[in-house]
Formats: sequence, C-alpha cells, structure tokens
Amino acid sequence: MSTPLRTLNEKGIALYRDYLDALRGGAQGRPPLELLTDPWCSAKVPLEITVEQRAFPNKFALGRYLNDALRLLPHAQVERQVGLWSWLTLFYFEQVCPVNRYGRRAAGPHYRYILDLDFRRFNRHLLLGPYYACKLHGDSAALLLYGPVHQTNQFFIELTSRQALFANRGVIEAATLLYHDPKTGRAKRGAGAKDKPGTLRRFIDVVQQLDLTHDLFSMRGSDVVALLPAEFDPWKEQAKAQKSLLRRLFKK
Amino acid sequence: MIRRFNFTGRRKIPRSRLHIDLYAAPDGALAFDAALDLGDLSLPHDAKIFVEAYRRAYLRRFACGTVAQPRWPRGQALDGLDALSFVLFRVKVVDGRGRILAVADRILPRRSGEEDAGKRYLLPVEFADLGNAIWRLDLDGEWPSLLLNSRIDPIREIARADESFRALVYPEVVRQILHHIVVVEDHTDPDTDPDDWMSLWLRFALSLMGRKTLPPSGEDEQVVLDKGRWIDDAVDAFCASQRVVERFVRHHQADD
Repeated sequence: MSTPLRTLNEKGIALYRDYLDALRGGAQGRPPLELLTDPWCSAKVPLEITVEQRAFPNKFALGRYLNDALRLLPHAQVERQVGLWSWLTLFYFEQVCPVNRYGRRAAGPHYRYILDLDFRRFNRHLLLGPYYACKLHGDSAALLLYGPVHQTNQFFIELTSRQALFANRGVIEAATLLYHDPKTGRAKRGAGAKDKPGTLRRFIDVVQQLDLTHDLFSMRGSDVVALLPAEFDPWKEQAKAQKSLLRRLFKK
Repeated sequence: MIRRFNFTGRRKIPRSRLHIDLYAAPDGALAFDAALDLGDLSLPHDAKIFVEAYRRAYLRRFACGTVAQPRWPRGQALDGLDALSFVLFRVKVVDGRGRILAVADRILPRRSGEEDAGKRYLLPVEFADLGNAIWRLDLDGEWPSLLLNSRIDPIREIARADESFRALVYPEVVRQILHHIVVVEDHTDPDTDPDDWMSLWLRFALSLMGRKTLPPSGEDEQVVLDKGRWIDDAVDAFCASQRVVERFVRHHQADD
C-alpha cells in the first residue's frame, strides 16, 4: 500500500528523538508511528510522492528504491531535509531498528535515524547513505551497500568518510571491481583485512596519493585499477577472472 | 616542517592568475564566475580544464573546455548551497591520460562587495547540531571552522555581538588553532605554501604580535615548551588587539 511522503517538523523530530533516547536508555516502547501522520508533527511534501512498506534484502535494494521513489524531488533539495529523512526512518523503523533475537530493539546513535548535517555523520544516516551512494554510483554502489538495512559495512564507513573518494566515480568503481564478489553479493574474503597488502586501507592510502597526480574524476574504474601498484595484483587477477567468467556466462 | 614531493612535475598555478567571484544569484542561490590566465604556463593546447567547488561533503565539478578553447563559467549556480555558505575551489589542467599537469587548490573565492575575501574567511562560522555543547572548533576539514550549536536560536547574534562570548570563546579558538598548526602539525614557516590556511593563520598571528619571530620547529621537549610560549604571546596579542578585557569589564559593569 502506498503512503504519501511527509516530513517531520521540529516538534515531530523532538518527539522522535525522545523515543530514541528512551530506547537507548533501555525502554522498549513501540515506535511513535502516529507522528507520521499527525498534522502537528509532520507535513505533506509539496509533490505527489508516495512510498511503500517493503522488506529490502539489503541497502543496495533500498538505495535504488529510494532513488526511484524520490526522483521527482531535486537531489539538492532532498539531501539536507532533516525532517524528510527522519520521517522516512520512522516509516521504515522495522528495518532500520528491527527487534533482535533477544526481543529488543538495539538503537544506534541518533545520526543513523535523524539526519545530522555534520559532514562526519551525514552519510551515516541509514537511508540517506544508501540513497546518496546509489545516486552517485549506480551499480558500483554494490560494494558500499551490501548487508541488511540496519547495518553499515566497513567499506561504506571507510570510503564515505573521505568525501573526495566517495564522490569519485572512478575510485568507487575501482574498489567495486577489486573487492566486490558478484556471486555472493558481498565483499571478497579478506578484502577488508587490516595491515595486509592490497586490501581496502592500502587502496585508500594509494588512491589518496594518486589523487595528487591524477585527475581520478575523469577516469573509469578500470583506468584507476591500472594505476595501482603490484601489491594489488592478486585482486586485479581475481577481478579479471571474474570479468571473463561473466562474459562467458553472458555469451551462453 | 612540511615536506612536499612532486614526482610528476605538475605545476602550481599562481593564485594571481585566478579570478573566482562568488555572489548570490537573484533566486538566493550561490553562483560564481571563474577565469584563469594560462598565458605562459606552456601547457598543451588540448589539455582539459576543470573547476571544482568543494567543502566537506559538498563537491561540484565543472568542465571548462581546453587550454586552447577555455569556456569559463559565468553565473554558474552551486546547487544546494545558500548565499552564506563557505566553499573553496580547485582548478586542474589535465592531459588525455588523466595526469594533472597544473593545479591550484584551496582557492578562496572573492565575495561580491569584499576587498579581501581571505580576511573574512580566515575562520568561517558554520551551524550544526552540537548536542549539549555551545561551540566546537573543527580542524578536520580542508579549512578550519567554528561550529556553533544550531539548537540555540539566537546563537548567530550571540557570537557576533555578545561581549562575554567574544571574550571567552575567541581567544580560546585562536589558541586551539595555533596549537594545531604549530604543535600538532609542526607547521612553523608561513612561506611553505603562502595560500594554505595554516600559513595564513601564522601570518595573522605574526601581524598581531608585530614581530617577525617565527615559532621554533621540532618536537623536543624544550622546543614544545617554547612553542607554547609563542602561542601564549600570540593569544595575548589577539586579546590586546580586540581589547578583550576592557570590553568584557565594561559589559559586566553595564549589567550591574
């Protein structure tokens, strides 16, 4: 069933924050879903936009859905709407803060639910982050957005905390080529290991160096991969094998 | 001492060749004009030019033609920014293989009606939800900024005009910034990169102190102590220039 999109006002956000505070303090009340339609706490957005309750298998599916649902709203107007993103997390509360196996909701920091405009926490919003990643990178966002909606994976945290990398299509495409396993839909085993050659952290270090000498923005992912030093060869080989397998499958 | 390497021979485009003007468009959005004199930099004619406007999570990139046929932005809107937003610019000249041939970074645009944009934006002020804190200095980005808690309704006016706030907060801001530059980064030479924010702040501190003694460089215990004294002197000079004690006392006497 479609629900008209709304935005929480200051009062709605304050009440939502109170609920999250209580949840983090150990209380287990039900989410204040009445705020979603209460005219004193929320308002309709000017355009006829609706959203649906769906069970999203991962953040990638969610990000794609939100890009489609919000396509009529200009991105520049959407991305800083604290009320809108807060309304959306309340609407999808069962997914952003599900009941765990102990029968409790374990709420994380507020910025995961109520959009925080501080650049360090901005992309960590559980819905805006996937929306933004899909908007910027399309299918290449798969590496950033594997895993359930209420969890944020290591690749997302590391790559989005550096805006110059996150905004760069070639860099994210290169990371996806190297580290994403299309068979499992997740990162390749060992890709996020610490202090090992050719893994994510080294990728970030090396790309930050390359960024000083190359305009990575104007490059494709494969061009960025080609610039990487020998320590990345095992990942490059895997990516190449993967590509030829996909090509063979496609031919069949 | 900050060391810089330049293995690929990329050139630095002098700031004097760049002209970036920022202004409020009629619809209230922020817009800019840019122009660059590439005259005798001996760059290949087919090299591409890009202008990037950026600040933290914000980045917009504009293709500006080639060295032979540049197309400079005129009235280019920066969507998503309001007229008071702080934004920096970067200009790159790039060859066909994506190699940067020449670059200018951290460019402070000129704001309409300002003689010296740098002066005003030595410390941009921004507003964010800081929870229970009133202010915080942010030194993580590409330019330092003073964050004020947007939950406090009249905070903009308080920061601008409240004498107690000015007397108690700004000297501490100056101290934290200089500590970061001189002690944490060991950046003690304002000529390393004259347009870098750390160099601008060092020059600002030197001008306040009315002398040319640079802070010492190094990490030895004695050097760090000397750096601390240099920072104390700079903060004292700042307070004197702002007549902090006099204004603070007068303000409180008026309250009584």
